[in-house]
Amino acid sequence: MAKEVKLEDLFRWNKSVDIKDRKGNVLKTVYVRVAGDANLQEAQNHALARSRQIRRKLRDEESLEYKALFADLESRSQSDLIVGIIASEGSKFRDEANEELGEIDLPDLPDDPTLEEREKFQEDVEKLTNNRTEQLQKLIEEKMQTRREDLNKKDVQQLQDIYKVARIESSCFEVYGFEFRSYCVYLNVFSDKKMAVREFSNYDAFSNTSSLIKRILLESYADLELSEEDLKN
Amino acid sequence: MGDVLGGMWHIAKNTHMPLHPTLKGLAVYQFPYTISYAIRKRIQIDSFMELPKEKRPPKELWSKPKELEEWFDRVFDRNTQTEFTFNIDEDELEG
Repeated sequence: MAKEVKLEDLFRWNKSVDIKDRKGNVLKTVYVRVAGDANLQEAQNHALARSRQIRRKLRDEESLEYKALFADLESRSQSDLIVGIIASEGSKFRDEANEELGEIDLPDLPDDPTLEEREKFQEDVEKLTNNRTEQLQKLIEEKMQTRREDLNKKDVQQLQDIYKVARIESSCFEVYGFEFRSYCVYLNVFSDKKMAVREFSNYDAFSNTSSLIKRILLESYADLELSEEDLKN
Repeated sequence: MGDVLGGMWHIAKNTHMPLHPTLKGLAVYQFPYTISYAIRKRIQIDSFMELPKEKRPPKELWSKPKELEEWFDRVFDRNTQTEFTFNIDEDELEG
């Protein structure tokens, strides 16, 4: 069942967050809001720089990052490599399937519809949305299967090369996503209710804060944010 | 959600009232991006709806800028006119 997005969800864009100790005592209250357009641009620039930096390191076989990521490369079996490649390419299959399926083609609601026509329209929208979700899943699985069959024909050396490319790509993607979200949160956590004074003086201060606090802030931010899919509806 | 937001946006625009109490005192650039995205999308859809039905782009193109441009080029014949004719009265030319 597709999640229904309400208008009030769109306008629930800030909230207070209590930072508590292990005993549940409130240590501090901060205020979190959804980023503005300018913040997004700034976060994107920051995340791209980090992703570029890590990509350069991961392509350098002498770097610590490369050695850490591919420490077990030689010991990986053929099937293990295939599983790793498919997992790393997961988002690509989803994007391709989404692109192929396109948007849901909703039926036209007649001008001045009757109550029954509106009821029918709502029912149709739900059915179409659920069908699309099923079709999407099926198409992703088909694509994964095709890729698996294609990879089964490769030898270990070829698989290792493909694995490296796929892992570097997915690692950079993860870094990009994490840094983008973290930077948005850093820019949008405030110490005052009017949300005028930032809680963290710079990004390093946010990065160096305890992982528990970061997790609370990241989750609070995510709770306020609507996904692109929700926004399209 | 879109239709209701569209209605609210028109009322807010015409009455110069804030779109929502939570946005009071905020400049547009300070709006949460989720809200500005939804408004931009609404304005885009409204502008499509002002077109004659046969020239409105299909929904699957709405979030694809390149395909959308190609659609408008096609339905408005934007790329076919490559020659222009000017009637010049020679008497009006200097020299």
